[in-house]
Amino acid sequence: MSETANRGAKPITGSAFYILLALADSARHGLGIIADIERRTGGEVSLGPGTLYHAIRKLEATGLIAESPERPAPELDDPRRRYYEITERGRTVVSEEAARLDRLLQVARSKKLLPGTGRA
Amino acid sequence: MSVTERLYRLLARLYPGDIREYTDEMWAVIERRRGLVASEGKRWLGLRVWAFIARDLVRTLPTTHIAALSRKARARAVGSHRGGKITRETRRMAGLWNDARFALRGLFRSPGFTVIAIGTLALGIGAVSAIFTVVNGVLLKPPPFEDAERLVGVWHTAPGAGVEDMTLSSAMFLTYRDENRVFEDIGARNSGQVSVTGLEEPEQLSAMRVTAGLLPLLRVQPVIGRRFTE
Repeated sequence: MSETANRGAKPITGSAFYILLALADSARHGLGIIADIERRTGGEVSLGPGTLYHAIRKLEATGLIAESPERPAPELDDPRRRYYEITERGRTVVSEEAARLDRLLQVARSKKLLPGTGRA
Repeated sequence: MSVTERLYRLLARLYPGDIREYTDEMWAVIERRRGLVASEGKRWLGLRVWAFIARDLVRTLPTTHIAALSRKARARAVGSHRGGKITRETRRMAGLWNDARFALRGLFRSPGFTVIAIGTLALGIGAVSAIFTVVNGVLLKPPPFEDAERLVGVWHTAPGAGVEDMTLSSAMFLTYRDENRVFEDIGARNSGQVSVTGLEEPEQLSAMRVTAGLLPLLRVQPVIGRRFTE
């Protein structure tokens, strides 16, 4: 299946990919998404508030994420926070994007462009 | 509410409506960043937090507005389509917004090029504006007098004697005026310095000596006093 056929839509941006990855295992609020991205990238990627909520707005509008009805226990909850969860469509898109990147990585690996695979 | 929060909330109003509704959560992100920055050291804490805020605003304000405009253009195009009259203009507008977004992303990807391009444009526009101001003042804009197109300036020159701008003598002026058959009237002027004396310190001022007929000829009234009489 071609990449375009897989998505049936425009390619997702880097920040959208990170957000979808952060929501892949559990629902999170905005701060939780940022913290997860920073933890997984060792602080290399840190989204600003404008970038985060612009991406969230677009992902909600395209149906890749949705506001989650699930909330933590009242003593841990802040009513101002909105929690987001990945939708089925979002999960498909992020899986396909990950698969596409994996295929690219395999090409890079076969050309010995990654550390520990030869020249790099 | 701290000054930083108040100022950030004010700046967040610059976002389009759909992003503004996240202001509380966006401020929470800033507070978290402030905590992280403080844990690295309190030196220049405020400055570092504001650098983070400024970078985020500069990167996202234009893109969020262009996205909002693009959405509106698309909605209009879809609305027209549903009404059975999608026009070439609506398609062109939707394409135009997409092009604008693409261009803006490209500019943000190469900040060095963007700064040089904007600087060159600013210099170019500034230089053209300055040149136009001079050309407009000297060549294009008519003098601020009624019937300006009927005014004619006459200068004397004596190239043989090497005098480019020769003073007009009183006798020559009177001859011109008396022999005039072409113009409504003829006036003369002469610029120079005068000393104004009185009770205070004497003061030297720029002045212009004019013949009695010059002001009626130019159709102007003195700001103070009355016109000359012969």
